[in-house]
Amino acid sequence: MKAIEKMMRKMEPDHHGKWAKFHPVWDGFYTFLFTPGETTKKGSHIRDGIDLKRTMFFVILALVPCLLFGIYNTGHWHYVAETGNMKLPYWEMIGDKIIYGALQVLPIVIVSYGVGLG
Amino acid sequence: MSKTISIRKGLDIKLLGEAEKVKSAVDFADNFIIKTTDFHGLTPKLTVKIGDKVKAGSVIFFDKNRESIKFTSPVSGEITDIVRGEKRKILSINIKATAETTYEDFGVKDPSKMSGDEVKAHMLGSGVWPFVKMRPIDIIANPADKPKAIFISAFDSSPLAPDYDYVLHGENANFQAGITALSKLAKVHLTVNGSTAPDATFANAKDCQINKITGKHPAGNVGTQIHHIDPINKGEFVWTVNAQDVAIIGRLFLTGKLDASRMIALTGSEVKAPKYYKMTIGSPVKKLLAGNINEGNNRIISGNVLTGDKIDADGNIGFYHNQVTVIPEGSEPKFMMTKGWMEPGFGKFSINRSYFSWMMPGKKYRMDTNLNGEIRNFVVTGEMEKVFPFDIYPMQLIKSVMYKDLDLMEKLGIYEVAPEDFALCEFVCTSKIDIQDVIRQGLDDVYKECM
Repeated sequence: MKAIEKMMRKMEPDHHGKWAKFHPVWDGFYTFLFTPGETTKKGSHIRDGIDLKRTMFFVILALVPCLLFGIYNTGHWHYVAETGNMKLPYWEMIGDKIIYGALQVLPIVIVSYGVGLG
Repeated sequence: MSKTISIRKGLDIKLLGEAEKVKSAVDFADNFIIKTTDFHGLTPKLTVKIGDKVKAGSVIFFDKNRESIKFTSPVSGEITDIVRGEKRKILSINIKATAETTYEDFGVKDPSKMSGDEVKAHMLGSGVWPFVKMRPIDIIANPADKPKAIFISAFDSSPLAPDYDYVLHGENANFQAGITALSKLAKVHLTVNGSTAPDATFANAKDCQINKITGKHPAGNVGTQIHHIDPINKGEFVWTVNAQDVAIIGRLFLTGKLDASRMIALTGSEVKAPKYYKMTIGSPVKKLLAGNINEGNNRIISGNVLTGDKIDADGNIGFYHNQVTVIPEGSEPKFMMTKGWMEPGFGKFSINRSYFSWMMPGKKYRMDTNLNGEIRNFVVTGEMEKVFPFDIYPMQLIKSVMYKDLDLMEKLGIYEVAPEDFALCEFVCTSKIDIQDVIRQGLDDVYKECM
């Protein structure tokens, strides 16, 4: 890990150099890979192991099954409507249902994340 | 009427390095320091200069705004340095102590036969008044105030805190004299740990109401006890005194001397042999730590890991502190998969269930000073309420302090709290906000504008 850290530090843009405006991009990637060695300065000297990155990682982890179900379910009910067959088995036409569901759901997710981050 | 309280919220942080119940001696060291920064809000005015000889109990400075409050030397010796900071603000007074301590004679007094004013005058003149702090605001008490009660906690539930049942065992006479003296000023509430049988020093205390409290930390904090026994409303004052300081006050009345010695617990995962040591207020820690801490980058804390102050290896113990804690610094970057935010987390302590510490409640941890994240805005709700046993909304109060809404701060209970009450909230905060500092700012704003 020290090798990766050394490599990242070598790539760090100089704040006053040609690539200075890309420093936030580098910083985002560096803090993705490493929790900084920042220590407590005020107040409590020790802190809980949890931080927002880990919290949000678990939020995403918890939402993934919901997303997958939502994609498949959208596809299933689309084909129920299209074929008119109310008794269409849930686990038939799996590939078609996934493709259709993904084409419907993923653009919504991408637009909402894009607007939220923007 | 004795009260028994049980608190359900809180958190016991189990750390390695608890002090063994053994009293040990430390080699004499002569460079004592009294830091004026230990007394929040104080403007000191010196009565000594470099080169002056003092005895234990001699006045060295007083509060410019309340001249009756005197601060006295804990040892006899010579004033060697007066350290000043920006704008010549006095930061500390350094005293080179003599091997044998000589004391000012304040006269042996029986507090049971004294009036409240006599007790107060005796305490003010001998330098023990700074042991008395007030709520709200959590600064040295104003002698002119009439408090509704004085609260003493007979135990400390902070991580690795000294055991007062062990420390004050056999100090019955001194402790009782201190209680009797304080009872002349206001009603005294002594709160003991309800989960264990308290030492006879506390169980047999008279001239006070003995209450019991059970629960996790911060059950031992005097603020928690005040909130559940006799909450503070606007316009009311309570005073608080640490249990060991009550014994020092009692010793003053019974012997006529200011013997400012305490049992200090040397604790922490980086201490090879954590024990108790008898030391005087302002003692240097160099000889205490020599050969007794692990090599490496360590943080030495005067006090406990939640509320203490960072000191150097050649620093001195703070005025109000009863322990020294040594833990590793956590200044190495941590790779996300092995020790960072994506790690499985078997060795880390957290209140959050994304780690596994909740499955091992008895395990003790070697925690370092890494922030474990970066400062962010408040995002997660509900985590502070789990460790804050007050009938107060902690996040809303912190936010009202941040945007300086004094009316809202008053309504949300700023008069009841002190920074130490928020230490656990600061510990668990996912956004790594310096909450104790925020609360301190809020209390200063309220003191300036509303009192």
